[in-house]
Amino acid sequence: MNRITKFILGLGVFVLLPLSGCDGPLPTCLELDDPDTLLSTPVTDSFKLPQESLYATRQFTQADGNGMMLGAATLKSTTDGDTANFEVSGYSETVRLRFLGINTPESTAKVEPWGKKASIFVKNILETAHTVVLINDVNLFGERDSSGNRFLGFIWYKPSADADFRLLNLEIVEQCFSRNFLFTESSITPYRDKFEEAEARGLECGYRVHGAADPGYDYSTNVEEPTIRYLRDHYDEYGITEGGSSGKQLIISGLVVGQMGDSMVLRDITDVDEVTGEYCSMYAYAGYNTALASVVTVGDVIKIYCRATMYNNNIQLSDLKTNTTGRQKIEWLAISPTSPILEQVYPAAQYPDGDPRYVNYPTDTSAYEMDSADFGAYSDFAPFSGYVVSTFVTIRYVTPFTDDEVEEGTGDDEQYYFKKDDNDNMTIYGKSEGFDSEDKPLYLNLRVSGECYPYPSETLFVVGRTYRVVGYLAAYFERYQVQLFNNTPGSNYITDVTNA
Amino acid sequence: MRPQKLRILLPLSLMTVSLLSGCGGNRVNPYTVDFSLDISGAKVNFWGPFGADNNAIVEDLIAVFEEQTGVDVVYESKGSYDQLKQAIDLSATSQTYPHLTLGYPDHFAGYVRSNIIVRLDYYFESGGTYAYGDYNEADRTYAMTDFYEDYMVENQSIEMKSETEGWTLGVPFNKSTEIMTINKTFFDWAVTQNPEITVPATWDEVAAVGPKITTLLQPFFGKVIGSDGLAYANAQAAADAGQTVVLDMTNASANLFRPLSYDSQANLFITTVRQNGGTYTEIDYTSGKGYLAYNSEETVEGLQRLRDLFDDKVLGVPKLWEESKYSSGPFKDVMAVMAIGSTAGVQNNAPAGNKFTLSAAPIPYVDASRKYVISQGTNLALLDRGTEQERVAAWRLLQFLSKYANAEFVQRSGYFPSCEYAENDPDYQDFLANPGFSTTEKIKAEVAKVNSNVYIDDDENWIKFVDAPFVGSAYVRNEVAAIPEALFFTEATIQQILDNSYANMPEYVR
Repeated sequence: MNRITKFILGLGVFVLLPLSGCDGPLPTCLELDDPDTLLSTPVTDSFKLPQESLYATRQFTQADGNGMMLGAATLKSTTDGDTANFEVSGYSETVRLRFLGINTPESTAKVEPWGKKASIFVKNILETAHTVVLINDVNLFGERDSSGNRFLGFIWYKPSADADFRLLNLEIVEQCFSRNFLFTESSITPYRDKFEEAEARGLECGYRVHGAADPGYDYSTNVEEPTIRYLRDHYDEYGITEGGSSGKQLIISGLVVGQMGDSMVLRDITDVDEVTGEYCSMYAYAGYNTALASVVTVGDVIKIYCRATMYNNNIQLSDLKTNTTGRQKIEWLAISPTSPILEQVYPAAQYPDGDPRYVNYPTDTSAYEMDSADFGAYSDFAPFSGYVVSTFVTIRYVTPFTDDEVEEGTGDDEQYYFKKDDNDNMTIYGKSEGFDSEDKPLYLNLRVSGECYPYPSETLFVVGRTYRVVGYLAAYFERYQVQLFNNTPGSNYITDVTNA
Repeated sequence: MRPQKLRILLPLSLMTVSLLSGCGGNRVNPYTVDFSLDISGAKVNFWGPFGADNNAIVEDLIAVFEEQTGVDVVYESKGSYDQLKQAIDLSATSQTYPHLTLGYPDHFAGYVRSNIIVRLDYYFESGGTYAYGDYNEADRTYAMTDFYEDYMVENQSIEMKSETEGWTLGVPFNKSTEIMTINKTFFDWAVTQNPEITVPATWDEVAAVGPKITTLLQPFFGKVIGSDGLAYANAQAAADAGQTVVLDMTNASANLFRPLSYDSQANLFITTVRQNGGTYTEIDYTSGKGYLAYNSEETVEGLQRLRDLFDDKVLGVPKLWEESKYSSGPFKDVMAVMAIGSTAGVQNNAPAGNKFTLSAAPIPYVDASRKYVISQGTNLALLDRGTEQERVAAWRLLQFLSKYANAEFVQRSGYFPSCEYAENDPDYQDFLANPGFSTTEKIKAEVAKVNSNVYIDDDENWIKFVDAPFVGSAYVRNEVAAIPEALFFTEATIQQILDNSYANMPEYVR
């Protein structure tokens, strides 16, 4: 074996398991004491990129006459175990790439066994890769997936400058984070036999997706009903780590205090946080096409089935059961007077004062005032993380292509103050009122989901002006950002206070 | 209204007339299995094409079947229909295919060629009772006539046992069709502004109402429609004027607005041929080979209508908005207010944030005597594999999924019932009557009602069609998708486009 691959998965120490040659007898299957143990990858180790001499002069988004798409790419972000976003030189849009030949379990809007671990595995590889090359046979596989939004391709990567290229898709199969889904042969990417070879051991031994139980996933049908505060403070009891999610079925009851498209922020209705004296809140990701906002509105008190995951060090709710009928339907413990379905639930003719249960719950949706003027470090934001906050943000320029991390810009040419992706997800660059020990502003960016409606457009903001914003404060790597809500008229979520 | 039996469109093709033959080797003869065998403990492999949502439903149903029968079902999704077919084709060489699979008729045509698919006639005749589970005795019979005839015909036109009768190779499971999703918020408001703006039923009505819609919306592109009927820059500006927002069109532009979008260019073409009285493909009765048949006056007439609608900025397809396959994105941005697409994907038209509400209508037709709409979706089939016990167990699973579990599957997935037993299921009827509150739940139920009350109601005279499968029919379908594109985005004459299409597929030209 020419190299040993190390990945950080939870404990970060792994044992490479021996594997006999694929042409010989099948290996003895081993008990994996630690499910995070990475398997040896002889098939991936021995497979080389035939087009290594070509990629530097090619662009992935432009197929040649034979249908080959090939070129270097830079990782922007990973989505899950089989999708990632890349920047390709000469192509203005983000290349959203669905990996060919694999299909890892779900880990975002839905959670399936091994999904989160597959996602972390891919993330760790791509974020530390020295070089990434994408390739596809567009004549055979097509350029994009059935949604039309994602390119299709194989990912070759170099872990370090002097290492050989490795085929990530193949490695995912060999690590048993996906079954083999490559059933056709291509003259440009003749990988099918390798994929079958890579899957053989997993099939024989029942590793991971081939039959092993994911110890980080809760298979029981028991439903837990924690408060949001308890879930936030004791997430380890639910098997939630950055390296995996329990998938445990939860029921969360909470007051809807903000909405981003169909997603929302829920706040506890019992169990005050003793530290802050406030109710805790948590982001709940609705996924696509749920139309949850057609039935749920700010001020509702709901009970909803969901699961919890960790994303960028934030505990969030996902896999929401958004139906209003059926066994796991949403229940309204109390419904807001402004609800679009109030008439269906509490007809005015019968209930002229609205939902009579409303008095039973805390229904104040106002934000937690976060005064950052005295903050001297990003850690000062931490106690407010996960709260709906009201705070001041001044809009600033940033330097292109550095994502604002290096220096605040001056407004010269090629400076910008917001960035928006293909899905209208937008970052508006801002700073809080605090300064660090070197008198550098503590940055506090605003984040707008492309799903928001009404959409808080960048035109609401002007560089140099200061705004009072109300939104959900979430950790973002070592810093924090405010996620803005649907900019409903009258909500006063965004107020220019420059001259106030 | 109780749905009536569906009518048949498929030309009864006479493909290869073949005799029942053994499947070789020492394997079990699939046509002599003993249905009285105890199947408890048998292990059955089942492959499907679904994504996570539908897989979860199938797995739930399988759990019920396992409890009823004691059979161990190993379900595996291959991720897509194409990959499922590829996987089975690949496994055919090593005889590692599953006992039970889903597939389109043209997939089954390929499995006939590779001699791995089982004819189900014997199973219906000898194993047509389902003795498991808690069902009424009267419902335990399982017959071909349980299923809507259209759906059965597509499974009986692949391999013929005589000049007029085909072997049964599949049973319907997940069926869908095309529907027109309506921006209900817009139409509710528009009719108050111009009573002539209503949802069109025919293509002539589309041509008439389309320009009226565009004219009405002209002041509002890039803005929001206030409750006073005036244009405002955004929701806040409307609120400042004391108005609520009727419809947010801030993402809509005048030059790219089209009242109606059509997702699938292949379906648009094939349905146009049908609705104008033309023939799409035909099959040689003796060789079983398929041929192109759409280069006709009827097709030219239909395509001219489509070109006029496109040129008049009434009709759009995804390419117009630089989308590759679907127009749900433009629809949600109000770049269109009617969208024709698969019923299986109708929830994709639901906008985030409660931007507007939806309703559903049948697709437009040309003439009331030719109200054609395409039938889509796949069927269950047994593959020639396993012990006698496994084969019986696989048949029982097929029975369970296609009939007894079909109501739950379609209710949760958005597909349509394959049989009256499922259609009349009390829970399914309750779902139609009480679908829930959300836009997504309501549109799924509305679509199901259009299917139940319009498409399969004899009084409405709709015909769900499936083109007779032949080896290569999927390829032809992919190729004809280029015809609308040439029609809309090139200057070529319609005749040139059709001639070029034929020239690109010489092997399918008589």
